[in-house]
Amino acid sequence: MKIWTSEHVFEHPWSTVVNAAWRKYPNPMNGAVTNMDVISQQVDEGVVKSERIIQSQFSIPSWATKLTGFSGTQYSHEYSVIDPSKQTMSLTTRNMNGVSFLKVDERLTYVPHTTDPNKTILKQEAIISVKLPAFADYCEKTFLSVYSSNATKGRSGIEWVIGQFRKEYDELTNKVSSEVHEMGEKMMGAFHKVK
Amino acid sequence: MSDRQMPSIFHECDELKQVYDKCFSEFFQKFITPNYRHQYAVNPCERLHEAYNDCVKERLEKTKIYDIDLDELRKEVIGSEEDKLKHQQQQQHKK
Repeated sequence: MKIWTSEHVFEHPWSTVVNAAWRKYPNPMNGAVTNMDVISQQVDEGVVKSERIIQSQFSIPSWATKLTGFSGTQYSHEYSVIDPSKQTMSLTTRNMNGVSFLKVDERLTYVPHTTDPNKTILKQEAIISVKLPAFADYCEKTFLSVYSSNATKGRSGIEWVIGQFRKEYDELTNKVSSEVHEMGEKMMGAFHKVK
Repeated sequence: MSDRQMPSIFHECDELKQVYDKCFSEFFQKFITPNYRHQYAVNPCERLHEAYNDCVKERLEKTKIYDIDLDELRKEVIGSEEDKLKHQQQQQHKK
């Protein structure tokens, strides 16, 4: 068993990061995630609790498939609790395939920075255990290095989504201002006609 | 954000999912802002989720895409005692 932990600071307020984290997929940095379903969702006493099943597509060498029975399509279960009055979002994710030899538990928590409300801290923890005699240590190490690089991709993914939101917002404001501008022109034209 | 969508695992449920997602995203965006009255919030998309989830649930049961027992996993993952209790009540309610 191996445990991996990390902390990351986003230069955005909590609600921005959480909005992006909730709608993180699809993004170009995490192309493996292809499909997703929300299997339960409750809004209860100011807290949103959701369960999602996430489908990912990996390219796995055929020898590994033979060894482990793992195919390229994987499913994971995600349970999330979002409490906006306490400003916390926590996600617990576990793999749903190949559990007889591999268990991955991941826990993510998004909370505001203790002193700067314009920053958000992501705490990340992963517990990996591989049950393949002789291979366990090798597999755990390999998995961790892949996981660690994926974690970086996950963060860039969130930044990308925030960028998309911003772009959409800018487009909206641009659109509004241009429509206002056009309206102004039309009004002016009308005035000219009246004259 | 209409161009950035995550499809359902089951093609047949995708249309229902997109309708639900759109509804929930709109609610969620307001819900997480600091001045929203969180305590009094209800999920405005509950009915849409019901229709969508019926579609998914039926297919999850049929296809067995994963090799774990979902109820067992829930017992372990769905954290607090309070959560567990609520979940049990829901299950009983469904029966």
